[in-house]
Amino acid sequence: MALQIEGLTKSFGKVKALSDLTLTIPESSFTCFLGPSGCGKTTLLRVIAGLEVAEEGSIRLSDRDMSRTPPAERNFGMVFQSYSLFPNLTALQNVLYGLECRGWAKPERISRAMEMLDLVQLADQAHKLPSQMSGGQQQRVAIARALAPRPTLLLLDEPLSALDANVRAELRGEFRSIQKELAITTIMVTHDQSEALEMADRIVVLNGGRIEQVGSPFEIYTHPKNRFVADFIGNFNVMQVGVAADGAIEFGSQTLTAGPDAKGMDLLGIRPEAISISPEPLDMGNALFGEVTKVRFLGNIQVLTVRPDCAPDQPLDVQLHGPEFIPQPRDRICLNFGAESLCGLSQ
Amino acid sequence: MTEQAVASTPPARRFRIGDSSFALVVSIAVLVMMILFLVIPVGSILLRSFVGATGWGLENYTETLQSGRVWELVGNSLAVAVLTTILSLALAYIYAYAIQRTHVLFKGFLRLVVMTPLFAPSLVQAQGLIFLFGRNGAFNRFLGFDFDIYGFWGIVLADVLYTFPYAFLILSAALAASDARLYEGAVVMGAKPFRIFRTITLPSTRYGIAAAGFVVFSLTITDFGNAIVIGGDFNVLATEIYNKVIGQGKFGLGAVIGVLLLAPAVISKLLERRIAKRQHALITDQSKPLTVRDNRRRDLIFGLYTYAVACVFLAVPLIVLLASLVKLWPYNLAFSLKHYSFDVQNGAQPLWNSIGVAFATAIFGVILVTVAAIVSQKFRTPLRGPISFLAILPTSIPGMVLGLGYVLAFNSTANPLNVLYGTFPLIVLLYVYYNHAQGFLIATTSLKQISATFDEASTMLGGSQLRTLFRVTLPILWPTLFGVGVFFFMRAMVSLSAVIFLITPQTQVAAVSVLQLSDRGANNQAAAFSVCIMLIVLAALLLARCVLWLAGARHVSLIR
Repeated sequence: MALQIEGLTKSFGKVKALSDLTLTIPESSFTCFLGPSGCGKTTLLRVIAGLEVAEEGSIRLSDRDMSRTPPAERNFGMVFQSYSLFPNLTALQNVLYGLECRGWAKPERISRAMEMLDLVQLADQAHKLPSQMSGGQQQRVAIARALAPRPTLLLLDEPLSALDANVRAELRGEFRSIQKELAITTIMVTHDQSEALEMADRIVVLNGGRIEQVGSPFEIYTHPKNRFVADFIGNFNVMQVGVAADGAIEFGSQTLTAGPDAKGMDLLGIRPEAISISPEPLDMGNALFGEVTKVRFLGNIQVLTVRPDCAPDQPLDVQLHGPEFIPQPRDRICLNFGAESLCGLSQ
Repeated sequence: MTEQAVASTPPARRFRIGDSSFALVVSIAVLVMMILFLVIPVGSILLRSFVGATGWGLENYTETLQSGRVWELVGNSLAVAVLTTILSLALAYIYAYAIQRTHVLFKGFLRLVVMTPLFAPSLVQAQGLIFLFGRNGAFNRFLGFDFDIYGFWGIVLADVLYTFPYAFLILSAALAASDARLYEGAVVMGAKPFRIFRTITLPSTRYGIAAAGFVVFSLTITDFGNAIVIGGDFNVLATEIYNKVIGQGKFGLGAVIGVLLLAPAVISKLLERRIAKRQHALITDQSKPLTVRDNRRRDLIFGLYTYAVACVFLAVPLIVLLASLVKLWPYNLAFSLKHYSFDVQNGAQPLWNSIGVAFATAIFGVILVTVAAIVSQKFRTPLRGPISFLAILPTSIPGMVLGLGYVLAFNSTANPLNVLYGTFPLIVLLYVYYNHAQGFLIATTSLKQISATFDEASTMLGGSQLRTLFRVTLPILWPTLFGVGVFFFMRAMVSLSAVIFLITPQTQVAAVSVLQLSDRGANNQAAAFSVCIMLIVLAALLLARCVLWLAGARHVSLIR
């Protein structure tokens, strides 16, 4: 079921956590709220859950107003960062909890709980206490617990950030495939952009209680709308450019060719990996000569910092994959990139 | 499509009380109990102190304050309290230092021995000192000394023993928290041990010292049992209330002294809270715990000190035990169990009464402080502020004053709860509310440690607050609450001053029996009563420890 959020405003004392936020979450989609700490993403999730009450605005699920419904009656499933499995109950009892609250008959609830544990591949651990399970297992039980009562919406509050890196990578895929299998509308809060890029159908980038951009991971990554999104999603070269009287884009002393969305913007961005280096200009649309000032070796990639001749005060980063050709500082090279890799950024 | 389309409600649920109205009803009940059994008794004292023979006015105050006697009593009480505080702090500090910062042997034993005053009726120190140093005490009788223990020094000595465990617990905790980096830094810079002590150890424990000082001071100035037994002709404020109320029936004058006693206790509590607020952040998460180095000479000196102190603490209960087991101390030392036959007025009934009262106090105490803690922590009603305030108020009210308040409040036929007067339930309620603050603080602290996300997780799964409480919170909390119950049991077995005014021949409890028997000179029987109380408390502690051990909850502290 689709979720419509309209004009949500919430403040804690003088701090505005959410200001006039409007958003639609499509049915069966996996949406990520992404942003730095304090951007309001967790507050937004908690308002949707009903654990916080917004001062203004409405939350509607398929045109039914939920704004005043108590959280216990919203029938949303939620998974918390800190597992929050009840430590005195076994995995099975934890999963049964929500079904007991809803008064399911005993045989039904046991078969449903076992089905859920089976879904997260923990049916053999049903009688263990949370303290006897690993963090990843606990979080899988938490997912099973949240899904057991057939919620209309699944809310995930940074569910992976307390886990080790390798477990996190494994669970990303597992959460995503469970979500697809059940086709349940899901919202996940995260501050980890790679997690959002990998898992989400749609990413909502939040900053200071406002939405900066909504889009598919591909759109967000390749065409960030503004400087904040560009900086937050991976590395981005941001170029201050001038616009000549005839509309030409001037980067320092050189004119650039760019796609239509860059027209008239005075900030342009380009991903470091979109730039190719060569001794002589390649025919890619743009070619800048410059001097390498710094080389960072990061294993699978190298990052060069290059000072372009046309704009020496605006160094550009270039990402190279594989160690086939590594320039040294003070080498002179040519930077090549296509017109379509340049995107216009609003401030 | 009308509003009715919304009828696609989730599956049918069982009936449940609305969370918010339930919270409000429980909060009101808790507040009403606190008003009835805490606010009204204390209010009665204040009120009664203004009721004189000729009606309302300051008559009692002028009569009390104009007599030279009250100033003498104030002077006596202050002198005893100040000296006891200094001695108790100094002795307990060195003792705690020895246990935390040196390698003395058998630390578990040393720790336990100084806790014995907590297991004994709160006049056993005076009782033991009299058997040791009194007119017919072991030293005067058998070793040819000529001590006169009755009076100022007797009270001070008894109160030092009585307050030592409280000071030790606080100071020991303060000394346990230490940052090795500071000590390593000082050693590297060439500081000598005494300089290190003066510049690092002492400053880092100053809040603990202050806190312990306030606790000892208010315990001493309101202590009644030891003062009345060993004080002789030396009177203090606490014994004066007893004389005025029990001896002369002058409730108004007693109330005035009660108000006088309330003042220093309240002031020292307020100061203590202010200091406690500044105490944090001394130890950060980067601190390294101190490891104690080997030093034979230091260990020997501290070892001698700790064992000397331990001997004194063992001597008191042992001499009481000895006195209870001989025919007639000190004239006929033949072994005899006749004092345990309790052929006195009520026989052994007071002991059974005490056990019953202590059990009831434990059960009701746990229920009441748990409900109060939940109401103040989990229920968002406007009443949580006043409830938290009243819940910790009793720490600043001396037991005698609260007890007198109960007499004044419930003895009056105008009070509809007058039927409770002279019954065990009122004694139980008095014990519960007298010890309410400590129990409440323990329960609140452990409630706070249970993550709030459990509540949220339960809510999101559709659970009510009641379900969360019974399925999650209480099952996690029960070992701590069990410990709180043991604490209430112990206090109800040993404390004397709170109930002294509420006792009737039908509702006699053991601690009061000890006082009355030694008042009558039946010292051997009084000793037997004391021994029985100590054994019951020890048995209860042992039993509780076993229960917790079997349940796998081994880290709950029972001695507070």
